[in-house]
Amino acid sequence: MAGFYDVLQAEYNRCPPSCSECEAVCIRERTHNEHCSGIAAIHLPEVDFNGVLRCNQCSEPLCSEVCPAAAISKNPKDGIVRVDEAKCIGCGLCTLACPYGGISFNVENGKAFKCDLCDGEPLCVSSCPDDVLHLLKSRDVMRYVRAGDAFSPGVPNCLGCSEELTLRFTLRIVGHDTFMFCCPGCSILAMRGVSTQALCRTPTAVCMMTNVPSTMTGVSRYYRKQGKDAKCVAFVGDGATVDVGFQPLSGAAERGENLIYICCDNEGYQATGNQRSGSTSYLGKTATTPVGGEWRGKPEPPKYMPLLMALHNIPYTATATIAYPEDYARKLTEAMHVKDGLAYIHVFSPCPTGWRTGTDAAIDICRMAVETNYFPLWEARYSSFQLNYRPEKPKPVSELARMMGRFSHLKEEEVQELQRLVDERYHLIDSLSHRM
Amino acid sequence: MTGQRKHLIIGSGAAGLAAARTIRSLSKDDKIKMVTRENMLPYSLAALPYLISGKVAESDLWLIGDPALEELNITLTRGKEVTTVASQEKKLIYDDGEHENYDTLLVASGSYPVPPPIKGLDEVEFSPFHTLDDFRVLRERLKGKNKVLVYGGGLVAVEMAIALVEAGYEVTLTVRSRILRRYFDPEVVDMIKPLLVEKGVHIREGGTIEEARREDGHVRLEFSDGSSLTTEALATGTGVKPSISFLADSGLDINEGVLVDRHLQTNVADVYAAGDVAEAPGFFTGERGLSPIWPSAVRQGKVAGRNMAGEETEYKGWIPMNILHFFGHRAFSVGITDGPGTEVLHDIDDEHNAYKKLCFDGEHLIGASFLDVDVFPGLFGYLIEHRVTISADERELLLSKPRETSSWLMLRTEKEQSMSLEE
Repeated sequence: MAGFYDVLQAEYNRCPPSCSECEAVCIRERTHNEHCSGIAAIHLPEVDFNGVLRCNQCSEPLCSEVCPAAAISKNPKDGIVRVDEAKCIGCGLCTLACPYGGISFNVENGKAFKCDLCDGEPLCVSSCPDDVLHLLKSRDVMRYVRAGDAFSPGVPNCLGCSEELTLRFTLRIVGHDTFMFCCPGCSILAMRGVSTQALCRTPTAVCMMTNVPSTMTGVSRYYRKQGKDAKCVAFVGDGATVDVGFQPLSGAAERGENLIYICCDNEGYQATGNQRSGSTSYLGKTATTPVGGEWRGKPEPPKYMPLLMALHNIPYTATATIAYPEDYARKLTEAMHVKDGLAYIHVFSPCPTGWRTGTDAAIDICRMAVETNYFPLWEARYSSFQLNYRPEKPKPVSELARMMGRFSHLKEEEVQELQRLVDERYHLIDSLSHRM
Repeated sequence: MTGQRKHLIIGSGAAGLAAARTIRSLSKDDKIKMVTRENMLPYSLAALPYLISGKVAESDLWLIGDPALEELNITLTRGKEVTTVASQEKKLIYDDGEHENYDTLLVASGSYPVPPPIKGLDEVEFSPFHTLDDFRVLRERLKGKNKVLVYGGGLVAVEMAIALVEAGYEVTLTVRSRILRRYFDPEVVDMIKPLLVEKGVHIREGGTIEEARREDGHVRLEFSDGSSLTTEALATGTGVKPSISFLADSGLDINEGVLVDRHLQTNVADVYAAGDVAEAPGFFTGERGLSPIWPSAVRQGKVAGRNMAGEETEYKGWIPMNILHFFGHRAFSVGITDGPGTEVLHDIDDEHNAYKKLCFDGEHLIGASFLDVDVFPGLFGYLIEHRVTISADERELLLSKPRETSSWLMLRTEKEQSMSLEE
C-alpha cells in the first residue's frame, strides 16, 4: 500500500510582489547557481500574479519515466523524487517531460536539478516570510493515529456510544493493509468525521447503503489482481445490512467474495433519529414504532441476520459484543484469515441515545444481553455451528429490559412474550451447535 | 477478466520496458515476457552518443538489471529473433524454430538505421550508430584516428557530432539538405549552426555523397557537386525506419509502421504496437504517423501496457518534441512550429543570441521553439496538451515573459481544475 508522504504546498497567488526568498535560499544553500533552483518565485505584475512553481513529487513522475539514463527515481520510503547526478547525462528530456516546471537545469555542471524537499526539512518553507509555503506532514498525523488510537480527535458520535468503541477496537485488530467501507449511518461519523474533523487511520470508502458489498467486490478483486493482499472490511449498521443492503450482501456471500463484513447492530436507524429497522427488537420503542394509543412499540420480532448469513454457507459467521473483547478479537482474527469467501460478524451495539440508557451503560447492557441469551455469542465455520458461551443460569430478559427506556412501557405479559422469543432463538442456535 | 494471461513483448527498448512495468503494476500473476534479438539487457538508445564523449560508461546504460527484472517477475529472452507473427493462432515463431503462444502481444521492435544510397559503401568501413553494438564497433574503429565524417543531419547525427568533438575528434557534419531540418525551424537552426561551428564542428550542408572508396587506409568520398573529401572514419546516421520485416504475413495493417488506434491496438485484436515501430494517432489531427522519439515511446508503452492488462486507456496522441543540449546551450521545440494557418509570434535577441517562437491556432498554443531562453520547456507542452485558452494579451505576454507567463498559465489552469473538482 502506498505510503503517506510529506507534501510541499504553496498557496496560489499569495506571495508578496517582491519576495523571492524561497528561490534565494535554494540558490544560496543548495545549487550555488543563480539560474538554477528547486523552487521558482514567479512574479507577473501585468496580471497581478505572485506565486511559486515547485515539484509535486508526483506518484508517477514523468521526469523519471522519460529519463534515458535511469537517473531519476522516486524513493518509496519518503516519496521524494531525486536526481542521481552521477548518472545524469544532461540531455534535458526531464525538463521537457515535466508539465509542472519541476525540473531546473544547471547549465554550469550540465546536470538536471530538482527539489528533494531538503531530505524532509525544506529550507524554503522555513525561510518563507509570509507563510505561503507549507510542508504538509501527513506522516505526523498518521503517526499520531497509528501510535495511539484509530482516529484523530474530532469524532462526533454521541456520548457513551458503543459503536465508536467497537470501531476503535476493530481497527486495532484489522491492522494495516486494510480498506474500510462505510455508508450513511453512525459509523460514517467516526470514519469520515463531520466537517472533516475526524480522520481515520485506514483508507475509507463511503458507499451508498445499498451497494457496500458490491463496491467492496470491485475493490477487492482489483487489489487481488494487482497481487496486493488488501483486506476489504465493511463496518456498517443494521439498516444497511438487514434492510436496504441485504440483497448485495447475500449476492456477495453466494459469489464467495473475499470480504469481511461487520454489521454493527444498534437496532434501528439511529443516526437519522431512531427509526425502526428490520433488526429492531420486538416491542422496542422507536420514533416510528412509538408507545401510545394502540401502539406498544415494534409489533414484529426482528430478522435474525447472523443466522441468515450463516445459512449462505460462508466460511465464517460470528456474533460478538465489545463487552467480550477477547472473544471479539479472536473472531476478527479468524475472519482475517479467511481467504476463500465472505466472513460476517454481527456485533451487538447499544445506542444510549436511541435506546434511552445512561451514557455509562453500554458495556453493562452488552454483558446482560449475553447473560440473558438475548444476544447469544456463537460462530459458524460454513454450516458447523458453535455456541461460544452458555450461561449456566441465564438471567431473565426482564433484567435487560429494565436497563433501557425503550422497554420501560412493557407489561408483565409482554416481557413474558419477549422472553419466549429470546428462548426460542437461543434454543435454535443451541440445537444447531455442537455440544462442547 | 480472470485467470493468468500471457503477455509477449517484442523488443526491450523504451516502449517495451514501459509496457512490461505497467502491466506488472496492474497485474501480479500475469506472465510477462520481453524478447529481444540483442544479446543484452535493456539499454538506453538516447544515451548512446554520451558513450563516445565519455559522459557515461557502458555500465551506466542499462535501464534495468537482472535482479530488478526478477523482482518484477518479467522474463527477458535475449538473443532471439521473431521471424513470424501468426496472429490468427496468437503465436510467435522464432529464428530457432521454436514457437510460443500469447494472450496479448506488443510489437515494440523499434527501428533500424537506413544506410544512405552511396555507391561503394559496402567496400569501405562505415559505422551506423543506432545500437550499442554499433557504438562498440565505432569506438574500436576510431582508435588511433582523428578525422571523422558524420553523414546525416538529424538530432542523433548532431548529438553524435557534438559527442565526437567533446571526445577530441575533428568532425565534419555532412548533410544532404540542412541540419536539424525536421526538428527545429530554419531561423533557430541558423542560430544553432554558428554555435556548433565555434566549438569545432565543421558543417557541410547540401552535400550528397555519391561514391565512397578506400584510399590508403582512409575513406575517399565523392560528392554530387564534383568535390571530394578524405576522412579517416565514416559514421552514417541518415535516418531510421520501423523494424517491420518480420510482420509481412502477420495480417497487421502496415503503412510505414504498424498502424494502431487510440488504444494502441492494431487491426488484430490483442495485438498492440508502441514506440518507433508504431504509427499512432497524433495529438493535433488524430492522423496516424511515426513519432520515433524517446518520450513518445515511453508514453505509448504505458498506454499499450494498460490496455493489455485490461485497463482501457486512450492515448492522447503524440506531440513532436525535441531538446538539444550542446556546449552549454539549450534548444527545444515542442508541437507545430511551422505550417499554414497559424499565428506566429517570435522574437530574436541578437545580443544574447536567444530565440523564442510561439505558434497559436486561435486561442490555443500549438507550438513553441526556444534557444537559450530561461524557461521550463515542459510548461509549453502542458499548455498545448491541456489546450489552455490564452487571450491575445496573454499571448503577447507569453512571448515577452515566457518563463513567468507559462508558469502562471499552468498554475492558473491547475487551480481552476482543482476548484471545479471541489465544486
